[in-house]
Amino acid sequence: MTTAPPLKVESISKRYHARHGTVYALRDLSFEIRAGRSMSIVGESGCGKTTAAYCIAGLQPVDAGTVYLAGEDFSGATRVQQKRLRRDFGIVFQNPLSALNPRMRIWQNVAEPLRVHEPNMGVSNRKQLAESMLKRVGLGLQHLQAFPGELSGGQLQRVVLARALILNPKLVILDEPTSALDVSIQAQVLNLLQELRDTLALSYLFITHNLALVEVLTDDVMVMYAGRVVESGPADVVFAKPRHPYTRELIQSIPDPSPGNRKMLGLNDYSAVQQIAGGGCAFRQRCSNARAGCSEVIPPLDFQAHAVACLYPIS
Amino acid sequence: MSQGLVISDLTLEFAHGRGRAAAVDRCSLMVRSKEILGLVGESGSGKSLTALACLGLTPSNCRASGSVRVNGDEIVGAFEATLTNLRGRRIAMIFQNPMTALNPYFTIGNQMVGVIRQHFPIDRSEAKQEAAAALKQAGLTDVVLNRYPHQMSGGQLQRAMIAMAIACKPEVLIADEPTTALDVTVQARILSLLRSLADQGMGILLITHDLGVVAQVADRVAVMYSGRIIESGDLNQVFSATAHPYSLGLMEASPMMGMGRRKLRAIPGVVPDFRSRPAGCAFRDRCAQAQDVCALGVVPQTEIAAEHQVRCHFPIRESQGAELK
Repeated sequence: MTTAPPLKVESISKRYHARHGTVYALRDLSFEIRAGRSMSIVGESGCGKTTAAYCIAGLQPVDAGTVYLAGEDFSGATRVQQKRLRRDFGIVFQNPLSALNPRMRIWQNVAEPLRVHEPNMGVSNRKQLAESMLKRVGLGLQHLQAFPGELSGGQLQRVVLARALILNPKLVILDEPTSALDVSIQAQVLNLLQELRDTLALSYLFITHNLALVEVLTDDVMVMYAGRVVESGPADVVFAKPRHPYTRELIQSIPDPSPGNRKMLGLNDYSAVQQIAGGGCAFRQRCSNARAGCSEVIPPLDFQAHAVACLYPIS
Repeated sequence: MSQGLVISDLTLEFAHGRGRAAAVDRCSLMVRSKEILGLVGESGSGKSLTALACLGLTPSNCRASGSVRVNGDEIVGAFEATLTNLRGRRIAMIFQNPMTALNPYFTIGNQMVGVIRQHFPIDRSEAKQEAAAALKQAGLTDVVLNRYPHQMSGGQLQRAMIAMAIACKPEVLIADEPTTALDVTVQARILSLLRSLADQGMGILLITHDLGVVAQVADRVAVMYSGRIIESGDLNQVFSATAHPYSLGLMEASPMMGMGRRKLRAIPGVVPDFRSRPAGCAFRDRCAQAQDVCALGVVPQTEIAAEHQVRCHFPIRESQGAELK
């Protein structure tokens, strides 16, 4: 085994049982992050992108399918094996304050993975490693003894990042890491993530609703809608020439920060459209290009470099 | 001119130690009818507090001075009864999170009828018709009248909030981060709705941290930093000839589509807390071109072009701005 991809996902599915019926949060998700590449998952709330992250990280069991970490079966592994495999990736969540233990000091929070995975390591060694990692993410040593409540949001996100990196993983899962931060602070954290990716040769799985951040951090992008991937490929290609009508709508909806380019959309209320069960394309009721065939078959993802799941893609 | 919303020298102070600290410091703004003023700033800059002061909703431990006039009526220091008559009727507000702003125990229809009958002597069925008309204007059908908040999506709730706010046809609407909790496709439609309301004659104060949102719908823009308006003016003027280093920094820190892997220009440091704001210019600790004079006294506001004011000793000239970019 020479170069197993840091992450490979094979047709994983996840459903939740709710009072009003079953919600298919994830249907047949397959993709692969090759060594040295990074991937973004974008989509609107409820499309399944966070469920995907949780299933991949083993925080939610999958209903079907397999997650491979560095070539090894993670989702089907025993608890002991899973614990060992967890060393291979770090996670950064959206809200850093709730991701850290409020009663542990900053350095203890950062050193916690070492306590779990390196039980033989002494306290002073752990503290030293935590120190150097905190320095690496740009935090001064005056924060070592502080508690999470004393730091600002941007600083806390750096702490979470330090904790995610302390076991030297090759893969980091970033679930909306900057959406709780202000613009000027977001830029600081994004720049740090860029720098760490390049110097430590990390692969990111980046979950975001903000399309403008995709190209800053990753090479490839997957667009999800109603639990399925509707389009995927290299980010620059997908954004320059979207093939799925939904991707095009997402791109057009982003407010352009130059006053010359105003684009006004209609006032149609699409949020009233319910998720459609059964066959057919889930997007068809919102789609301006929908035809009769769209309600009959679920469009499969054509597995090309720039893949799309649409019967009548934009050419 | 008494039209619209006129805020002049509004100061909002909280007790701090032995003295007081101003969360909003001598803020002056004007929203004319048929116009959207975008108020931009990061968290802690005082923009939401300013919005609350426009409706006399500041917390009880906050001391307000200066003046806020809605079509000539003074809000600061007004009696509660006066405010009750003004709120909803002359000036209304929509909030960031519609789920917590609406009452979960009542249907949308009930809540709207309550607001309408507070201001107009009409019976329930007439009020219900008014409510249905407002919902239609906001892009919803009257089915929504019988819905409870939990039965609706975020985008629908925000439309219902807007419908409730415009039901009594106020002259001024305050929108505090109305699309921050929404998806981009829904956001685009809510922004179009706000624009069409302004075109029909309403004056809107749109508070946001997203420069893209402002660029899409606003006519004028004001940038707030640590409780002070540091730059304001015509939208195109401020965006094309940005004069304050902070405004420029904010623009360059905003990621854009199609910028590729380029590094963003981050502003070092954090927004100072208003209780420990440095003397002089509050931005000077983070500013690359700060000099000794920036620490001395209040920075005066200068008009560097028609409809374009800035509070900086060394405003960026156009040639210089292009260089920095």
